[in-house]
Amino acid sequence: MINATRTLLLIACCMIFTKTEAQDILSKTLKDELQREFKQLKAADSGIYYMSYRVDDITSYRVSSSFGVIHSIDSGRTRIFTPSVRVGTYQFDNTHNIQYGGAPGSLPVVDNADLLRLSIWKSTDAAYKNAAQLYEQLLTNKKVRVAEEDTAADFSYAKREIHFDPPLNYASLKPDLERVADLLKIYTAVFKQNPDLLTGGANFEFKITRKYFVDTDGTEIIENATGTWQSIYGNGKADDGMELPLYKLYFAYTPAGLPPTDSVLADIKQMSAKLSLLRKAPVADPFVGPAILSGRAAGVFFHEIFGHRLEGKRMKNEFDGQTFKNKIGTVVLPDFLSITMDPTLKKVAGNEVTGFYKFDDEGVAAQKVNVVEQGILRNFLMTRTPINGVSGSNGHARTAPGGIPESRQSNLVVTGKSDKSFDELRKLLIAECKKQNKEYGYLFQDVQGGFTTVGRTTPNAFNVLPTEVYKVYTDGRPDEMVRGVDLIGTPLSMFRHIAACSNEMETFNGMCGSGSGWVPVSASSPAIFVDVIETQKKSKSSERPPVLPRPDLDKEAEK
Amino acid sequence: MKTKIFFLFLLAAFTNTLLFGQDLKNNFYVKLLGEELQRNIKRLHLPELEKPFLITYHLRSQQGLGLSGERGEITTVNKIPSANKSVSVKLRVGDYHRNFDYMIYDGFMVNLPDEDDVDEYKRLLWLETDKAYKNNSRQFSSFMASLKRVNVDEKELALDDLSRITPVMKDLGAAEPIGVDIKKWEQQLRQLSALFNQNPNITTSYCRLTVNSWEDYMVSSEGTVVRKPGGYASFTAYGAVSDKQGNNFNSNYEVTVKNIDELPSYAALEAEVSAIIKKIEEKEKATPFEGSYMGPVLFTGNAVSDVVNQCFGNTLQTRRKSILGYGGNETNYEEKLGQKLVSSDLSVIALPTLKTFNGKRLTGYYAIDEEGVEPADSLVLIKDGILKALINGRTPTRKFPRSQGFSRSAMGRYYNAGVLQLRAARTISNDSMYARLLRLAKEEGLPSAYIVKAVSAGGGEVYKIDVATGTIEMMKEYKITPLNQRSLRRFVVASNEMQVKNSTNFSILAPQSIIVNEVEIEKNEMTTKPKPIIVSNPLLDKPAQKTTAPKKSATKKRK
Repeated sequence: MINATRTLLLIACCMIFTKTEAQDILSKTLKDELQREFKQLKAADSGIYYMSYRVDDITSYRVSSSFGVIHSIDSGRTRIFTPSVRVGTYQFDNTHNIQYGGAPGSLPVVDNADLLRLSIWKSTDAAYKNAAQLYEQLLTNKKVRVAEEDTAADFSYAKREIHFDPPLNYASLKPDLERVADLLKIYTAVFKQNPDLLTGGANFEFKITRKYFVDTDGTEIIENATGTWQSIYGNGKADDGMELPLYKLYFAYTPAGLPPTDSVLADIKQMSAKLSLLRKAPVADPFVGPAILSGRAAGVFFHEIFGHRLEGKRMKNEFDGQTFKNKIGTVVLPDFLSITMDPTLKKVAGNEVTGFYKFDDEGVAAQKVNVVEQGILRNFLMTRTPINGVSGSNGHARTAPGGIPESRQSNLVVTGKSDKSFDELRKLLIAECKKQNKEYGYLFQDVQGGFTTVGRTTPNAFNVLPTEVYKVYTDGRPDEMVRGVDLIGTPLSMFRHIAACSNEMETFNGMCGSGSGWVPVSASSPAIFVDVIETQKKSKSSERPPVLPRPDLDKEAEK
Repeated sequence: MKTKIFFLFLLAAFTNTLLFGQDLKNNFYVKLLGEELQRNIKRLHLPELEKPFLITYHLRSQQGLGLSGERGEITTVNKIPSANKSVSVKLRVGDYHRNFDYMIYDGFMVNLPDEDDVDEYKRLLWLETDKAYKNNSRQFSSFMASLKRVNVDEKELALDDLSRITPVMKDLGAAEPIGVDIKKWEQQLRQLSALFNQNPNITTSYCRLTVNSWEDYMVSSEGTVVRKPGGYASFTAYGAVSDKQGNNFNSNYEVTVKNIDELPSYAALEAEVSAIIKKIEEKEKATPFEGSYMGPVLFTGNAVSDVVNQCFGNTLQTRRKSILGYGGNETNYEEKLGQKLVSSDLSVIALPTLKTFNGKRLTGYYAIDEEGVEPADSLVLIKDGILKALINGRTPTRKFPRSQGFSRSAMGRYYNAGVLQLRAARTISNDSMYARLLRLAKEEGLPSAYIVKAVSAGGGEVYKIDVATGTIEMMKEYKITPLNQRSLRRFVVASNEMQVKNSTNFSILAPQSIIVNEVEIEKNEMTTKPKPIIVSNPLLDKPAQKTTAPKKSATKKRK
């Protein structure tokens, strides 16, 4: 009996060891091949001074459902390989003010060093050739152009990091997709009950990422991450053709962290009811006046109009608006507001947030950055590319798998010194409306996202895309839902009009798409009261609603 | 008594057809497609717009599996068959005479849920049909408006835009099971792909199995109701090397059959993979082609089907010119009817309903085309060198007002003969072809002649034969002037053995080899070649071995 137990234990140990070893083959191969390639490439071209390899090994499970029916259940695994080759010097190299020239490839999902090495070898060669060609072009550009304003180097030294997360037990992480499918069916069946809806669905995605990073400075990192994104969405169409989409995203590190069924069902019922209301809601006219942005709306607002302007690498780019360049130490926001960008947070005010990571995509440890303290700008989001006056990375080099990292946001947290409840903000809003002789002000309750332009050739404007907006009347009438309105403005003037904030925090989790692709971010903020905002009409479809009734509701067809 | 038996037989056949038709009408997909189609054809109408006069739904339910092996490893992540269902909507407004069918863009196939659900399928059809109606109405009125500014030939205007058909109701059966023994094939692909390991200079290689099986449903407002199966299985092996000058040498083997059980045996596949490995090695060592050549060439094996496809695959079909004037540069074969196109020893025949040839099932076989038309068993396109007919679909042209049933795509206008045969009147035994080639070359006073075994770019295979000594050597760095129909006027002789070449939905029946005279071959002068990979081949530079840096002379110093 003892012998049998020992044998079983031995087999189990061997199996664990084999799995562990299998995951380490990639790590060892990356390291060995990096050294081999660097040595030979440097012998061929003395200008090469730094190389790194990054691999995003991503396993994903997806389920989608609509109107109580499963559309698809699938899973997949992919390994995206991103080599980086720097030619030139730390001061001036092939990455100088450009965001292209990478040569990402894919690695086979096998534990065979030869196959891995072949793929790495081919992609590295392409990356080197791109780098060498770009470097020559940039050298010529430098000679024909006037001296640049920002004279900081293209790359900086970073602390050598060694970090290995343990091998993943993929089997234990695999979600129960059948249970997920059953739940999504229950959720989306609720949408079907609403005759106003054209679509109503839910998506589930669970991602397991094991990220590898090695560089010629000796940094070696293996970082594991998991994330669950579950969304619910419904779509209606007003008689004037306006598309009416509502969307809600739930994020949790593991599927177990998702909200309970009852809570999601309540959200779906609420969303479905709102979609019906929206169909009949009046279209709002352009407006200038006071407004409240809920915590979620304010989070997106700060992400768009503030966060993007703190991305350090933009300060080197002479085509960028550089709103806050040379503004460190100056007042940029009201003194009751502070902002941090903190990728080390997994939760903000009890909510799990998507912008967490241990190391950024240049192998630098994630750091909390106090970007604004009591209204005063203190720092930018930095990569290993310095800017005049700010040197050294603070762990905010981020990219979608396969991209070239640039300074990006993580978990944006706005904190306000305030003891005002949301109701008190409403009172402030009504008082301000009266002061400005306005019949009503606006409450931006929810948003789907937003965008901003940061270049110099177009106005430096932002556009927040609300999905749930109410008119708040001064005469005591109930709030009225409106549709077809976008919140617009230019950043510097907008900041001056933030008059107060609430004492409750809300979080918006989402994906941010910028120069280096889609990265998960979050924005948490109290609700804010702004004494003047500007809105414009939302662009809309002019297509009529479907001519015939939805088939399951077509009484005539039944006859 | 005989009469009675005949009558009973007829009755049985008739009852069978009725039952067959009844079964098909009760089929889950046919029923729901039919119900939604009826609802739309009867009631889909916007005020002041034309009503749809034709709606056709195509639904495909497909199962597929792809497995890939590289250097002894299975690189496919998902090793289970995938299932997919999609639908397309073709809707026309106007009438048979004027609807611009041949110019209208119908969009894409839309995915349907994995889960069979009548309401959900109908909802998606409803939205797609509504969209198709609005898009079609727009396109129709836009083309009608164009007629106000262009003068269109009256004969052209007199043509209908869509020919009428006799609707058919046929159930040609369900999809065949894909029937892949996954474990067996994984093992075979491992072993076959590991054959490449013997040559470490081959740095790109794979062996792949692809199996697809589907059933297509077509339901139209004209009364067509069809279910038909389709599918294929293919095996591909590929390998490539790059030399130090940047030349790439590759070779591949590809076989497509109707069902996986018809693929060659493991031993046969092993022999084919070994052969391509040998061929790659030979190609690298082959003699560079010098000068130029014009004379007889023996095309053999795949090279013959490549020539047939090149000359006739997409040419012998009707084309309707757009009233907007584009596409005017295409050859109008209708004007060439009755003219000599190729040697009078050659004939080209479409045999769409031919199921097998020499015991092999043909992937190009079909009984009903994608517009619901049953093609004739045979259509002679070229007889004794003279163009006799063209393949077409439901787009009438001056000389072909009716469809002959060659439409092969549910979306867009794609014609294909299904099974295309090249017949030669002048044949000799396959064994005599080589001697005939040498005799021809001698007669023309040429020192050498050429054999072409494959013409595809990069993977071509050309041999030079010394007329005096009969010595054969493989050539590289050549360019064969692409053959066209005019080249086939110089056809000399064909082998009396026929071969079959299947691709996914097209089969070519052609002589095993043909000799064509006055074929031009010249040196492929490449002024630019990609630089070879700088770092040494990792397969030849194992970590245990000493790393070899490139020679010092290759080192590039940067200033």
